Amino acid sequence: MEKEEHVPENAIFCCFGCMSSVGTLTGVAVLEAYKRLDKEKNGLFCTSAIAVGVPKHRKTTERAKRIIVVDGCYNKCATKILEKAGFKIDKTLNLLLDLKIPKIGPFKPFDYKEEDLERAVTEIIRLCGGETK
Amino acid sequence: MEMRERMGLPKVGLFACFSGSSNTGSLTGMAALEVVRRLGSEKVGICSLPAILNEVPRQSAMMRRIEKLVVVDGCHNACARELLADKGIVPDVYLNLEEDLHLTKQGPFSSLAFTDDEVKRVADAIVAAVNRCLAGLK
Repeated sequence: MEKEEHVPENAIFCCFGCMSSVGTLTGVAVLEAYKRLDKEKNGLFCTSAIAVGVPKHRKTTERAKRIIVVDGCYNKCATKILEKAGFKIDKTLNLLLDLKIPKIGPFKPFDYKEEDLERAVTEIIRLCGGETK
Repeated sequence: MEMRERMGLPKVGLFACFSGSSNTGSLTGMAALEVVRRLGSEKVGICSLPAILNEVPRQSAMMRRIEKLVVVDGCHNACARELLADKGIVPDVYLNLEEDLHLTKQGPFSSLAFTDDEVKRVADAIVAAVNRCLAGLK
């Protein structure tokens, strides 16, 4: 019998829409936060695969205990993609609305401050339960 | 001055799947950013895949004024290409890291399992794709 794949408790999604500063920041901050988080409890999930409806990604997401979504701006694109796919979101972080990090764009993917990256990373870790490894 | 320049649009638009759930997905994102660092935002600009999927008016309108598009996927699921095709958007150049560069997808949750050399290799391939598009505009 095939062993069931381990699924982390926290399924972390982000928009990673790099057309603006905050879109880039979601992806860069989530990857940096993931370096510091417990990998058994936290996993990065694929927003695009959920939008397409890739069955394996859908099943894995359904098995996670919590869905955490990080969006860059008021458009809330990642949140909308998850909701359209029928998922209930447990926690959200919006870099513009919650952390007041300015959205600079279009086509300004690097126009964010180092201190904003660190704030975003800290908040993502807190949202995931604050446990680092 | 061209309309494109007045609007601050790049010559080539770049879409990537930007999936952080596997090494190849992360690589699409990191390499796309590296390409913008190398070529500059006048030549190439990253377009927001989630914004296009949600039909955000401003982003959709800007993207449709960009003359050439490169689309990059990390794996055989080809999510970015599929999602854009649903919106009637066909890339001028398409790059799939598994199929074209023979990178191995190690997922799930292999998000950090990539090297600087791999980012450079993928960025080199995207730069070549962008340059093919730019050559077509001359």
